[in-house]
Amino acid sequence: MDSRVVLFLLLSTGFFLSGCDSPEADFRLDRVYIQKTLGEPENGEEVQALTTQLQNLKDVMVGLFGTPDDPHVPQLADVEVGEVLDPQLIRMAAGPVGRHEDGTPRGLYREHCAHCHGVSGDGAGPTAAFLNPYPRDYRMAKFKFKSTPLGVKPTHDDLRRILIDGIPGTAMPSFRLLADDEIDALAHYVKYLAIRGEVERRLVNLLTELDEGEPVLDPLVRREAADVFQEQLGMVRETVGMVVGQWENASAQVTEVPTPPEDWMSEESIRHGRDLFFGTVANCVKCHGQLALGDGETGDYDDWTKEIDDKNPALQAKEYLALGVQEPRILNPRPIQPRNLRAGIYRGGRRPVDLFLRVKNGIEGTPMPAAPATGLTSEDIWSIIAYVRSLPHEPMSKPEGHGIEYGRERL
Amino acid sequence: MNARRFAIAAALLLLVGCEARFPDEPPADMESALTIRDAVEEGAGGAQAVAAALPDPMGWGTLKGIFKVSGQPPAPDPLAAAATHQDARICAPGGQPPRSEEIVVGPNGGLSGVVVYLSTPIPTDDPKWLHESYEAQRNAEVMFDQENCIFTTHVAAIWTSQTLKILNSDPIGHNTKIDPKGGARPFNQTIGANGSTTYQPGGEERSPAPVSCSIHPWMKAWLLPRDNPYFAVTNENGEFEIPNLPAGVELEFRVWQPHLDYVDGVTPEGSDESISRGRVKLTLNPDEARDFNVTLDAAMF
Repeated sequence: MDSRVVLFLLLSTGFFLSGCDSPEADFRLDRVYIQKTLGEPENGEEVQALTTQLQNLKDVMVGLFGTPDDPHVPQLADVEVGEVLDPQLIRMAAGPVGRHEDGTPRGLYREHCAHCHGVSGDGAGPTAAFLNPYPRDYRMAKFKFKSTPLGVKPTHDDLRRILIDGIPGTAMPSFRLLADDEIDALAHYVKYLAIRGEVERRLVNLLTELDEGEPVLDPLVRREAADVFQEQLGMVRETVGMVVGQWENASAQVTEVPTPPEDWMSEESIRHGRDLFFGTVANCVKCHGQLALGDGETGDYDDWTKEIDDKNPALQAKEYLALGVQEPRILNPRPIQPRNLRAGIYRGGRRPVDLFLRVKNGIEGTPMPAAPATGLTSEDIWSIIAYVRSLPHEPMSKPEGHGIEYGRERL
Repeated sequence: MNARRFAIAAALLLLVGCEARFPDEPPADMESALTIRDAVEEGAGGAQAVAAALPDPMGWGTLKGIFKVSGQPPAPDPLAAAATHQDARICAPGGQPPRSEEIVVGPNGGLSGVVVYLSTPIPTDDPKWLHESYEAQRNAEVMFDQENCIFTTHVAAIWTSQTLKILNSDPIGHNTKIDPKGGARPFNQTIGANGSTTYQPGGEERSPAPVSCSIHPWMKAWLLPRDNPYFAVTNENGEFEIPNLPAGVELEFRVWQPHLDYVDGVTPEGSDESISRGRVKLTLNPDEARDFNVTLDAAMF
């Protein structure tokens, strides 16, 4: 047969088989985390038990949070979920792109965000693999650029700020041109995806606590063992309440930024900042490098990448990738790069207050630690910031005062 | 004919390969999902009621034992990155990189760094459940040190009311990063040369959380914060002891080791119940000192 005819037949058959409709949008389970936490099945029986657990988990997640086209904000008797997640705003961001009957927009997330951040908020949308850095995966509920310390969620305003300003030096653009309530809607939807993702991860942790293969909140169990079902219900409510509660409390835990001393930008302050930068208390030089080019310690990974395997993300990712590109969705791991401080590009914002928060609190999800508890005052931090801000204006071939040798001497 | 044989072989291979594959994600069962939604939203309350249903303990007992490895476990990997690091002078003295401490076996075969801990939730504010001998330790400081770019406290457990004092015994800076996934606080702070800092867990973990240093990425340790003081980490001879445990009630313990994670499929000497996925249940008699000796085959590592 003519090869063109064969090709035509193949293509048309494929077309008929696949149909014209795109599949309904679906929140995918956090496959890497599940697989890592529950372990690989060793025999058919374990596969069967896992299949049941995945089905239950999927049903519980849809029960709690709905689907991308029909999102749901769980209503709990003792937690004000509505304070954190506004169902009205979430409906503006969810669903396919268009308008609701009353003319309000719909599908803002899929219009503006999903191509990079993915429908499930897994940071693995269709364009993700082409970007460096990769888009944020919200499901770990960790955010880098915020006004709160490590372990505390960002405030609503922190998320709004990122949406309005974008993230310089990355593919994340500014959405300043959107209406104010649309920005709010997207911030709420990001919180919704983060809360949804964290609840899922914590439920997976709970799975390891159950007896082998014991189903979670299976309506069948409700009929057969009402007390087990009630106990599990309590665990699920507690988990959702705990995760939502963290977001509720965030704005009360914003780090206070002291006013910088009047002379913080002086030559003397910059010199003091330089000494601290190379010193063994602040330790900036260890990762940012002798010339502050971000070429010090470069062998570490961020928390999202370590999730694949904290010992050897690259190797483990290959094994996952070998399973096929569909699931789990893995982006080829890259070591994290300390910021090149001579470029003058600050991802979390260039205002002194932004830089203070980065140095004081560290950057969540990354190796960047918080400032030491002792031995470094707020004035010292302002001096470090003054030095960092001077770096882009310094000729690199003539680093002020000291170059490579300086750091060695200090060791 | 050959092609056909090949096709059959390939199909068989596929079938065999599929048998123990991680299952694909199923579509949601909407009816079941909505039933669950109604059930979650119609009531209130968490899981607190469970602990209250436990029967009262009668007196106190001790759990003690030795973890040993039979045969030759694999030699620990040298952490080669230390030898070429900018801090090699401190981290690899004499050009010798340190070795991984995931598996540390003493001269008599004793396995150190095994954590044995009570996993049954107990009411710790009830003196029937918490022996008075533990009160003195309630607000103690637990030391956690690092020297020559190795955490010398390699595996540690801490009561959530206690404070972890993190020391840096090196003349260079470190940062200590704790990544819990349960109720404990995450932490990542710089510790200047010969400095120290403190960490309050704030909540408990179900299994030990990884501790690392980002400046020296080979550094690795584990920390287990628990809401009760009933835990122990085996020492350099593989020995552990948890005194004054509530007796007369069934208790569940977890057994964890850095390399093996939850210890699985091993039976303690003289027992008929094996440790399954880290769990083992036992009931101590009042004033009993129960031996819990475990021998792990080197092939497990």
